[in-house]
Amino acid sequence: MAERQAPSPFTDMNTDQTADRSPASLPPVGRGRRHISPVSLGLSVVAAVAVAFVALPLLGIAWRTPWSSVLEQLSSPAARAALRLSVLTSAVTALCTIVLGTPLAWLIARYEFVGRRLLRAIITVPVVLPPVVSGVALLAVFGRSNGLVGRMLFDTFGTQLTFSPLGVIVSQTFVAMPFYVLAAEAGFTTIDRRFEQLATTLGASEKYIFAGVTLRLAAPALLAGVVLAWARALGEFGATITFAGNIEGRTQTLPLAVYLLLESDPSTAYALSMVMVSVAVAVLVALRGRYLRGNR
Amino acid sequence: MQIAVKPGNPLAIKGVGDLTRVGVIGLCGRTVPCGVYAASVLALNKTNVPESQITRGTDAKATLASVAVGDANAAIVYVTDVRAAGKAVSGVAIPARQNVRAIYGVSVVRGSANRAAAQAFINYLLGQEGQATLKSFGFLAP
Repeated sequence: MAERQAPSPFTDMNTDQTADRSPASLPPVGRGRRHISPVSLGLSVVAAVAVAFVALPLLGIAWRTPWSSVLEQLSSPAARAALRLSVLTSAVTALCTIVLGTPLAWLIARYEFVGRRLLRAIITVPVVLPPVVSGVALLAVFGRSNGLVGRMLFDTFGTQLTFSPLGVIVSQTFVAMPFYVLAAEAGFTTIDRRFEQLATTLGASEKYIFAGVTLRLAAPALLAGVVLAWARALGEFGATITFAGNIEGRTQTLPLAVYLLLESDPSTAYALSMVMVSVAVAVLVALRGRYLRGNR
Repeated sequence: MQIAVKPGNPLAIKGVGDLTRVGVIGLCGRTVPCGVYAASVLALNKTNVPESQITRGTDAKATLASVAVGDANAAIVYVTDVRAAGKAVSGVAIPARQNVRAIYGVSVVRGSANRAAAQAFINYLLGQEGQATLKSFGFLAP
């Protein structure tokens, strides 16, 4: 294992101030430009189509939601059970991804070792895998009747992951963790290593530097990663229904309930969908303002 | 309908009445046809399985998969699905008197633009060859 090259300290302190270097003959280019060219007009039209494409279905759910009886719908036993289960499992999943994912992300970001790229590829696979396949894969390992680890767990501890809330968490963690690891890795890679080096020269312990400097500097990226992972966990369907099953009150999360209720009780399905849309929008807006800073 | 169980029926499930003692079982969603049929079968057998022991599949295939690859010990699905699953599951027959049967009809759509072809297909289905094919997949003659 060799430590990856850090930017050489203190030589490029002022590289951020590139504005002065741009040739004076060119007009300033940026978001402030007022002139509307045919090209930008064309791009704007396509962009508007893209926005409508995403926004209209969301409005469609709001349109179909039975607002007058929405609280009634949401307090039906099946809906309440699904809400509770989803909140609980997605929160635990978020915690699991932090605990399991942070060291891994740090390792991939900071060290150059044989198989690093392969490791990153493997950890990313669940992102591109169809969720049902993820569920089948989990059954093959953690299933009680067909999985090696699952059988062992059952024989030694009497624990069965399938058909239990634990299994829901396992499914969600499996599909959501890559989102956190990739975001955290980017965070660890882009923080300014000079702060850590500075802390070393000031005599800080390695432990303190990791917790007080590295983690603190990477915090916005880590938080963004947790939110992405949590959102993915909240929406998990395929892996959950395949691995954990679909038992009311035990493994039937919001998306599963929505899917099943669409046939028997569409208005509750729409109400639950509206809850998920609201939560998603609220979280993204809140984080965008406080932590996920864009360029402005 | 038929009870699908793990290959070789390790839990020795003999009938619908045993489904209360085998842990989680797979049934189709309450409102899809195979779920409605399964509910009738349970009712005909005066068997009450609590919802906390039922994992709901999105369709018959998914429900069967909860036994074939998942950890459910039994499922009530169509006879034809059990047969199609081959060695992945075993089937436990349900006596006809406590069972329900899905009946499928066939006819030409009134406004059909291809009446002749449609009628030919129906003739094929009801003819010797079609019936033999259907029978090989576990369907019974009308």
